[in-house]
Amino acid sequence: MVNANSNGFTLFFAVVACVVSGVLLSLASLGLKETQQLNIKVDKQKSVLQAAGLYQTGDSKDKITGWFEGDNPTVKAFLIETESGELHDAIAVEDYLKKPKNYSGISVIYECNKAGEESYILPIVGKGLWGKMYGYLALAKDGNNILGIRFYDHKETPGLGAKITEASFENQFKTGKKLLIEKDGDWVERFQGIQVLKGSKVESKPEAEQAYLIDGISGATITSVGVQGILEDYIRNTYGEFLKKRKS
Amino acid sequence: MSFSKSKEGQVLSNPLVQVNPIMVQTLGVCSALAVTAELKPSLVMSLSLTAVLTCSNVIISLIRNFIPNKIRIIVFMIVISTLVALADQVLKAYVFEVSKQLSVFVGLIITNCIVMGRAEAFATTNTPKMALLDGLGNGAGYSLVLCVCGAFREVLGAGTIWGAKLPGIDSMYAAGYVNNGLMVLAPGAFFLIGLFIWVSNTLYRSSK
Repeated sequence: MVNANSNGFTLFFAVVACVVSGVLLSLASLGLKETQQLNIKVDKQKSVLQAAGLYQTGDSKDKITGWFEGDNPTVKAFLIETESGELHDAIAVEDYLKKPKNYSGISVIYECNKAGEESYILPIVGKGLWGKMYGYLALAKDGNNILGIRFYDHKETPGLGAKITEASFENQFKTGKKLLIEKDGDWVERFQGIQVLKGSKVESKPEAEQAYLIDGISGATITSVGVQGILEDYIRNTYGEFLKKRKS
Repeated sequence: MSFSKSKEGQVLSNPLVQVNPIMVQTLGVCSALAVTAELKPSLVMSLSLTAVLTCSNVIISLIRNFIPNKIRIIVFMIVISTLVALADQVLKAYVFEVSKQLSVFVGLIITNCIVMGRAEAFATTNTPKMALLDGLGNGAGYSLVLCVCGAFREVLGAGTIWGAKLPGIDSMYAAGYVNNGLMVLAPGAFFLIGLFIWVSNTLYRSSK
């Protein structure tokens, strides 16, 4: 047997170990890419439905994609120009979704039209404690009433920050919360509405304020503040103009 | 000679308490603090770590005679991280839901010092069969501490178990009981694990 501790063998072993590991990983990555991407796509679609409250636990892949397919799908994606809030139809939605980073100033929005009731599902993303949190926020047609929220990808601490995907946190967004404070039929100031509080305090606040407050997660302050930051950022910067137009 | 007295039995059962990876070897404490705020993530972490530990132990034991001494640690690292990354890729393709559950654990498993520690301390000098048993045993010992710790922290810190409210907890809240906020945070796990070490030392090593 060769001397396992000679310099030559050490170098040889290092090269072999790297090559074997590299080849294995590249093969797995290449071979499984398509299946993985399909899974990710379906999972995103599922999250859109979850935010909008259309998903029931255990729904099959076909049922999920079914909402998005056909000539006149229930859930349809379209593009808007961030600055003006106008529709943007020069680019196909499919092209945009493949590489959203190539198109600055444009955002995708999902419109859901179920039984005559319109709602909008807006992609949101922002910083949590350990990494980015990706999700969807569903709003009613008026662009102010929140229908639901769903984070589909995050790196928050299990048992603490990861509770943003649990029913106890998500359900709060389904109880008639609003983005903005309305006064005399007008918005007082844009996007000072919703706040994510530290701990369970909403119930102790005056009733008039409760529609704009969400209980944060104990032990996960940075995640909670992150969610609030995402809402503020996206509603002020990305979707602000679009939502303003829904109001009138 | 019964199984429990045989060498194999010892390798499998000793890490449960006597040489528990967390309580005695103090390996893997970092992940024990990170994921034990609730029972469910504790169990997920326990199962995945046991699987990775057993596989890496066996693989490293199989190639133990070829690993050059000078680069052994980095070779362990390659084996472990390749294993975890591969498993992650396969899960992503075929059981996407499970992979989403595990995504936050992947990094914690690769850097878990139990895997590295057992590779260095046991797998390099023992046969694949013994390495397998050692992996299972240490995995079980780790799981035991993690799940007990997770259960304690969830009950005391959040008033729930496996995500469900404890029976009668609402009447206790009404009577003025409050959840122990410390238990939700990492220092709570420090205290608990410290207590576990105390108890296990008292029970098993008092004669020393």
